[in-house]
Amino acid sequence: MNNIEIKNVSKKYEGFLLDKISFNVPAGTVVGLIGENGAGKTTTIKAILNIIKSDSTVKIFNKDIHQDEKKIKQDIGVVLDDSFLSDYLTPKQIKSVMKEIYSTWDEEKYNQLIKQFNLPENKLIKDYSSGMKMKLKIATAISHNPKLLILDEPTSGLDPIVRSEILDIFRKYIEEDETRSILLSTHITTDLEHISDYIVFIDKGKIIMNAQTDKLLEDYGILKCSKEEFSKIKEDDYVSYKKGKYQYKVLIHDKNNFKKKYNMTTIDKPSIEDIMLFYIKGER
Amino acid sequence: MNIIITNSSGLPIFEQIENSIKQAIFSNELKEGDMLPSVRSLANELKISFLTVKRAYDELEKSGFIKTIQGKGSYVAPKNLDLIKEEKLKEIQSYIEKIYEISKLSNIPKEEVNELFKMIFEEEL
Amino acid sequence: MIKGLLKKDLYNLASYKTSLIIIVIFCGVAIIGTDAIYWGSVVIAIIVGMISLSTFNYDEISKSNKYILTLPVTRKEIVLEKYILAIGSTILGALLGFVLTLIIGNIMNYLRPDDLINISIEALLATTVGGIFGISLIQSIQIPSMFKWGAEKGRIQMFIIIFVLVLIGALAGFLLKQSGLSIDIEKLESILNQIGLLIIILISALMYFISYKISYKVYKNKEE
Repeated sequence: MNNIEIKNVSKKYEGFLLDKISFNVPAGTVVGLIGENGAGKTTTIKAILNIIKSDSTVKIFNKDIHQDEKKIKQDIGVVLDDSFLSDYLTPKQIKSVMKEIYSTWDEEKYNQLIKQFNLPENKLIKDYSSGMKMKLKIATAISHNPKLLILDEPTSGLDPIVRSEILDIFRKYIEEDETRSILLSTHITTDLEHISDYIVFIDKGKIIMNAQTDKLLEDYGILKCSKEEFSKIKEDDYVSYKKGKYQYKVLIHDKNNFKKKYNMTTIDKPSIEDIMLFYIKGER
Repeated sequence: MNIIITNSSGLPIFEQIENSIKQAIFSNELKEGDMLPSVRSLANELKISFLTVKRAYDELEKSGFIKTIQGKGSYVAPKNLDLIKEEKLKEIQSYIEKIYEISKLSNIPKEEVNELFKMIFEEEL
Repeated sequence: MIKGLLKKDLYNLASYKTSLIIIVIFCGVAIIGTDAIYWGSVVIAIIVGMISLSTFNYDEISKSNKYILTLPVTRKEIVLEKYILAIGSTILGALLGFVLTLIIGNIMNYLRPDDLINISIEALLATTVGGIFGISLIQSIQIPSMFKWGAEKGRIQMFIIIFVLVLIGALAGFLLKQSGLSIDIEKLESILNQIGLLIIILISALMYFISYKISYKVYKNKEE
């Protein structure tokens, strides 16, 4: 079962094209959407939520977003990087608004989260720090027990301690009910290594990779070699390379196969960031 | 049960989990019928993808160490003596390979190693 | 769902309350100063009505619209909510204007028994309805344009409109007093009575309705 299925999501702006984005978010999984700023992550999320119109098929919980929008949205929790209900409300007022919006609003859960995050109940949101604000947004997004969380850059601009706290909240959320899913976009890929099950990599409006996170980290490798050695490698056996003064660094997508084929063994484990950078900045 | 995962070992993470659980079963820390942590909770605890844990569990099930009941969870399977023997033999083999390596490196002849073997085994008897 | 959005806007306006009180007092004083007592109900109705429009500004500052579109509310409900708020504020403003003018007039008569103002309920009713007509016209123009171009541009328009209205009101009152003429409220009243206050209110309602249709059309395809 997929909680999100999108097919051929396209959107054209002046100087930017989101080009036939298709991927799924299976029930019970965390999917990370990665890419540079401006690669099309937020546009994709907006299209999924029908905030922008796009030529596409978007199915959430097996229903068409263009037809059952209101019903579907009862079961989604959303966190946007730069937008929230209002900066001039207090958490207490947010609660009183949200219980009118979501039929399944769980006041006790919200109160408990506000307490857990140490958020002052009667302070205006505009006076919150960015970390506190993000925690409040997350508390608001999960307090109606949605089946799906959609998070746009939920950890950007936050310090590592707050980030790890927030990731723990997401882990707990998905553990509570294993049919839930999370789709999160981020350019901080280290966070994803420890939470996402799948990674969808968007660059310049196109999907260039959609893979299982653990397979990605296991199969890919960074070979360090000399210029002479590099010249022996067939083009099909690597993704891209970076030329240095004293060594070549080469991103390999199937390191076990590579080891069998070539007699080169200085292969490091890459991080997702390494892989992303090789794709975007590496030479071919 | 200890499950120690390290990036410095060459082993893939799913294999490290697999080995840790096998070890717990061999040492009787996990007994027949004991329930294993759910895939998602173990993944969260180790801060890795649940697919990795799932793969480890799948492998353990394939080799008969655990049983998974849909919707309920995974349990330690009844001990299969052949299975254990096979595992142990594998372990012994790896030690013998090590002995072979050392003797080869230090030029100790096969006969002398055999003598040692005999000595140890006969002492026991 | 609409109730939730209304609550959000009312909470936003609650943080505005001090400025609101100051504005009302300021206008009250200005009106007393000019003796143009009947303008009180018009100005108060218009100011209260205008303030409800400032929720568009709050939404814009907090970038709320994008978030609101992720909630289980339809675009129709989002538009409708703004009209409910606008019409509600118009009714409230009219009532407030009517009552306050009555009170201020009586206080003034009490303070200056030698210079009595004749306060006719019918005339006050007529000016109040005039106020309703004015603010419903302003709102009917402003709301669609705020949905279309955002509150920032709309705000400039709003200040110009308020400024011009207050200026015209004060000037008219001043000139009338200077020229020695008294406002022929009776005549105005009889004209209004002939057309019928009800018809004016119906016209206001019609303007709101047309404006709502336009706003919905604009917002239906708006992308945040």
